[in-house]
Amino acid sequence: MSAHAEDIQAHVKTYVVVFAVLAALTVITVAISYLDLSTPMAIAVALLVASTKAGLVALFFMHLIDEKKIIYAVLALAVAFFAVCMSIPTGWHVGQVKSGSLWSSMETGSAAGGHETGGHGDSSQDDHGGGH
Amino acid sequence: MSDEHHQELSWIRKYVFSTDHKVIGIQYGVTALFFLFFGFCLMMLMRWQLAYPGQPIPLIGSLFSDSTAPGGIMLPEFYNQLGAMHGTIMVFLGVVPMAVGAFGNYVMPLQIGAPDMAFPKLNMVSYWVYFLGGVVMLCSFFVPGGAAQSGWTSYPPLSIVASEGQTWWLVGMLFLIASSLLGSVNFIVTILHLRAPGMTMFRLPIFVWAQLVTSFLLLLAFPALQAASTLQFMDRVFGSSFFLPSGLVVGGEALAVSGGGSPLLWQHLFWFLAHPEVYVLILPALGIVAEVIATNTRKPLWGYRSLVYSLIFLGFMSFIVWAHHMYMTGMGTTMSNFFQTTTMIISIPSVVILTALIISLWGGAIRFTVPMLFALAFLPMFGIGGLTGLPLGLATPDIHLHDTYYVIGHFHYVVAPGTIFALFAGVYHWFPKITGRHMNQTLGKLHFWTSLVFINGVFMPMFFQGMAGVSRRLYDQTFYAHGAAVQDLTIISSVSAWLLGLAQLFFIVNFFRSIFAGPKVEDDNPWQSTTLEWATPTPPPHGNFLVTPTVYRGPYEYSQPGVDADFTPQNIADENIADGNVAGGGTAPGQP
Amino acid sequence: MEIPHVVEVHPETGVANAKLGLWLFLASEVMLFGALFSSYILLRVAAVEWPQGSTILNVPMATFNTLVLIASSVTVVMSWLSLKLNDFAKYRVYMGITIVCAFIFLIVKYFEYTAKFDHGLSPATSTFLAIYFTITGLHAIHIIGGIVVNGYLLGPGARMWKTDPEQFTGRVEAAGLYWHFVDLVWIFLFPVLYLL
Repeated sequence: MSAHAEDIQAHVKTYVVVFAVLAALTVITVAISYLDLSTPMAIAVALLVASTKAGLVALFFMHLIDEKKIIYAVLALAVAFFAVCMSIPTGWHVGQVKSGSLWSSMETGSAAGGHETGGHGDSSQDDHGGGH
Repeated sequence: MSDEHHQELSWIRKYVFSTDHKVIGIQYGVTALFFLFFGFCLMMLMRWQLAYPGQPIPLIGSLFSDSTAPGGIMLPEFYNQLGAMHGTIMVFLGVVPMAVGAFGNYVMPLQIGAPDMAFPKLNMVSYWVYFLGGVVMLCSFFVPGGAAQSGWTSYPPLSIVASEGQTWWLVGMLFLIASSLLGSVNFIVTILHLRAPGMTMFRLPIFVWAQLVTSFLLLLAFPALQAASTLQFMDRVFGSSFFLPSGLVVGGEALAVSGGGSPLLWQHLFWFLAHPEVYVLILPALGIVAEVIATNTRKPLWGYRSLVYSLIFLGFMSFIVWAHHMYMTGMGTTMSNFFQTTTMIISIPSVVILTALIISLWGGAIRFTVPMLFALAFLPMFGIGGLTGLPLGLATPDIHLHDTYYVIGHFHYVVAPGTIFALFAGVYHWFPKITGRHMNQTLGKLHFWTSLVFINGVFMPMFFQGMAGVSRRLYDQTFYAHGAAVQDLTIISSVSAWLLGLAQLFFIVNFFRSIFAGPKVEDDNPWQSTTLEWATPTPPPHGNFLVTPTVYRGPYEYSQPGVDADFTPQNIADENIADGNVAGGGTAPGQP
Repeated sequence: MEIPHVVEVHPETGVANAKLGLWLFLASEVMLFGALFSSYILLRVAAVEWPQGSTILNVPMATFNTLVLIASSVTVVMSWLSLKLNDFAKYRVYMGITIVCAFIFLIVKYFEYTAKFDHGLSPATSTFLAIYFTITGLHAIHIIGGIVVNGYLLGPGARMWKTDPEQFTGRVEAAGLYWHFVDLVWIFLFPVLYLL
């Protein structure tokens, strides 16, 4: 078919290198999880590594690196609406914390009381500081 | 043409497991019409309980089992089942399959000049998965405890502690969602790839644009409900607590679950689907109305590009308005402010579309055919539905109106005299192409006028009931003084509903009689329309076009200056206009 | 009757039907897993306490499974490349390895699940375990789907190589894209559920 032997060899080489990098990143992300990082830091690092891996898979295995515009358009749509979907927990959290919502104030008796305390262990810690 | 075209297919491959988009479209249409009728019957039963609470259902009351309506008197549980299943069936098994599955499947490939859908087998699978979903939903009436009874929105925690029927509902939904996903992938690829030569994106009829945007909504919004249904399924079957908060007490006893879930999560995921779903209901309807209006005013649609951009903008915006269904959940004023702003913004493209359609009437030589009557009625009816939605989209008036009959009136004006009227317009408009016979105009006009009067009789009183504070989903509103005070309105509404049911007999008789005995269509293009579906033989054969059409112009070139005929089909080349070779459709005009 | 652009690419989009359709499907899958991730975040932020995954789940097993999936991604892309080189025998070897990898993944997953059940841990135990079982279960269903598709392309579907090699190569490419996506989801699932 269309592909030339040298091209193919180059392809194979890319795949092998990408595989090695992916395997290494997997080991690294596990190793990092044994370090005693703070939760926000751990989340940031783990997601950064995962995104790098996902990027490698998409770019080289799924050939996004030389894909047509239409595929990027489809992906852009998916990413945009994915972002909207991710705003559900964010917005929910903002609603709970920033405006001292009706229910949480009724339940706990204070505008920014017990309801959110569970969240303090998480990455959202910083959000709370400014509000109070 | 390959040789398989000439090969005789077995009866089953031709009519049951067909891969022809037209057969699949008809299958969708027939199934969806059945479900629309069935959902309507559920509603007529409910209207009896509402109008005459606690009295035995006349005529058919003795047919019901003791677990539903002992002695013909409807039990509250059964009333709840009817309510939940009316909504589910009408939306997911009736209107969407009719608007997208039936019309989209049948008309869209014809309008773009394609021989079939891009993935014919996938198309067949999507119909049969839909069919299975419908069967599961119907079966759920016969499981212990009856069908789902937590409303079509299935809000937890109620839906999770409800009887077995809810699990069936979830399984049925998973089937329906799978079907929509397969369908939408197929539609998008077909519209992007299978357009005839010369059919650029800006020569696509509005109906095709509406189907394209709708498909994207189905593709990207439905997965949220898929995820939510899976989570609710886990809660019900495997005892997880995604939607169950800690310390939940049901019937005086603490529920034995781990807790820690969030009922609001369901509402977010559900409405993340269900608001785009509203536009899935309305966009194809707008598309049909645009086609019918263009054909019957004999002039080009006003503002084609504004219509297209509005449709696309509407599609985008519909993803960021979902929480306007949730002002009363205490999600906070920051969120409410955001969502009421986006809601006000989304009304702009809706108004642009409606305005463009109304201006299209201006100065037209209007033919008052039956499809045109339905399309004309659609405009003010959809207008009422849309305008009454504005107070609901603002957080403050919503506090008073939320979950009252006002809401019921509002969205029914959008989907019943709105979308369903448009669907009727579509049936009357494309019936000659599909069957090769005309429908009876007199019966059609009777059907239209009676429907128009009674459907307003059903829904108009609901606004007043709602403003009087009557909540939706009440089994017996006379139980409350404020409900009893407006009970007369309920009776008007109920009687109108039954008369509306009777009025549909005109349609049913006309529909079946015309299939077998309607006057034969003499011309492939009986409405003298410009779009490509009329350039096929009647009814179109497998593979649709005798010769692949070439498109030379936009979709709505009616009454063009310098042309004798008042319409110029899309597949007529400029040099052939003078020949007067405009009318002949199936003979592939433009060919030597 | 022939459907246009089954094999030859569309002049405007530059791709054939199957590839565009598959990417659209993947967009929808992004939304499906997106909604589940979004649920995960909301539940976690709202939770009073949330266990660290590694205290409950078996990280070594999952690490092994991650490597298995990555390897299968390489083999599936190699099987497509073999077809491009007209080497059908190699295609069968690589596709075979891909399917074996998928089975290994499922077997490991089976041991993980049963170990949890043996300790009395189920979706009813806590919201964390509930989301763990739901997302990984759904992912496992995707793996099974991949086995079915790849198995078809290795077995009965491979006949098409003789009649229409180009369309067959297109199908293998599409199946490969799906398989990479399944891998990609796992790449996110692994740290989110097991490590954080």
